[in-house]
Amino acid sequence: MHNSLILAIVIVTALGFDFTNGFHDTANAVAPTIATRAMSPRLAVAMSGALNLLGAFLSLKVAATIASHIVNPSYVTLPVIFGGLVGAIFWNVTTWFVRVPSSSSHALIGGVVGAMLVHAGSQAVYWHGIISLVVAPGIAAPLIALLVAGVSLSVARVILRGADQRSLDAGTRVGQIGSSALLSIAHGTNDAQKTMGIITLALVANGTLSANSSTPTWVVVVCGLAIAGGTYMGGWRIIRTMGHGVTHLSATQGFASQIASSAVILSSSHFGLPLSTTYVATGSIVGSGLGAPPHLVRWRLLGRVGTAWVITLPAAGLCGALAFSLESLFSETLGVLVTGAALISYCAAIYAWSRRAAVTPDNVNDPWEPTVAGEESLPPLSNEVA
Amino acid sequence: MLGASKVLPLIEWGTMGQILAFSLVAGISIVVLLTVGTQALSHSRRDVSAVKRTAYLGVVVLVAVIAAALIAWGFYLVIHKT
Repeated sequence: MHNSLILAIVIVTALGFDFTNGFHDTANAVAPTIATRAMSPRLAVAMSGALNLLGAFLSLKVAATIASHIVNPSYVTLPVIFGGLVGAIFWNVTTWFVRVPSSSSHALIGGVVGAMLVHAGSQAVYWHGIISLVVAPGIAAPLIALLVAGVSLSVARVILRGADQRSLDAGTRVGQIGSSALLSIAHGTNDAQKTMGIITLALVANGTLSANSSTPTWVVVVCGLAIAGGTYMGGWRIIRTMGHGVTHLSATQGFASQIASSAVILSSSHFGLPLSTTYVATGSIVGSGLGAPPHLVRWRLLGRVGTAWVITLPAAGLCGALAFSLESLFSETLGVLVTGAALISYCAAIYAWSRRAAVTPDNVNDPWEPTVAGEESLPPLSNEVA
Repeated sequence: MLGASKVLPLIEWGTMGQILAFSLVAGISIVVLLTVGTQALSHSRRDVSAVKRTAYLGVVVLVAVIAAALIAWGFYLVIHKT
């Protein structure tokens, strides 16, 4: 059924999700680079944004995967897509506000599944695909990254013993900038495609495109620009959590965690089982914290992060289900407009609230102040380089 | 159920094992490469012998070339495997 107004709203909402995906995930590529001062905060996000934009143009191979492996495409309608996007944006904005890194892809999948469950019931959801492509890799990703980062750091510390500070700065800077660039381009390629897939799906569901059509060029361009813009905005709250909250990162630790993240992300791409960059990056930082004296991380904060990871799928699903239910109370167009207005109001309120204790490029590297009651105070970072 | 054409195993243990092994080898190799380059740079600045300094700088250049090639390979993987 053709409904140009709903289609336009769905496309704008999808781009809004893409934007939140960008700023929510900036930390994955640049948090250690910024925390160890290998690059200035503004330069790091500018580089990451530009490479996300480039990455969006590089491949369209998985643009439709999210639909075809998670839900039955024949049940997909514009209001279902809209409900899923609203749920994902709601969860992304909420986790950003509470400074917790969580997977935007899992939020999107959860949102779409929640809306679909209300719309068509359990038979429209591929539970097997959710476990094999989302849940199992979500558990494995941080553990693999933690191990790789810990072992890599131990090796680096042995080899770097006795190196002078200037050389160490130069070497670790090259490693961190190179791996940040790789992670940024991988993120742009991977995550922008998901929104491209959603918009293509909406165009097909509306009858604007035929079922086997490829992604239109304008969709690629606007998705690339949205994720790059979001990345450039910085997501400083989460950058601060990952760069300074989890552990103190020395130059060597930041270097090892970035290299480990790149190695795991590229390996998973090579073997055809893409892993969440958020989970990999967080696992790498934890591995780097545990891999060098004083072997400390803030477990209470990590417990909060882990809880967010566990509840991301069901919580985004619940948000998607509620959004679709709200839409269903009205006629199709009015339901989408009302739900959209509710989402905009929520995002505006959260943004206004976040300005009370804003994290910006200017204070992102300030000393970490515990935000969780009873959170561990880590000893100050030693001047010893490795 | 994923459809008749392709049924994935519930948990791809083999693939995850491969990712772990490959990541470990790649991560450690890159870290070793860059730390060796860093050490060579450090020695090239401190060593008084011109021959040794040149040799160490040669190692630095070699490591830089390999690092650039690795980044190019990484881009290739992102483009063609994602």
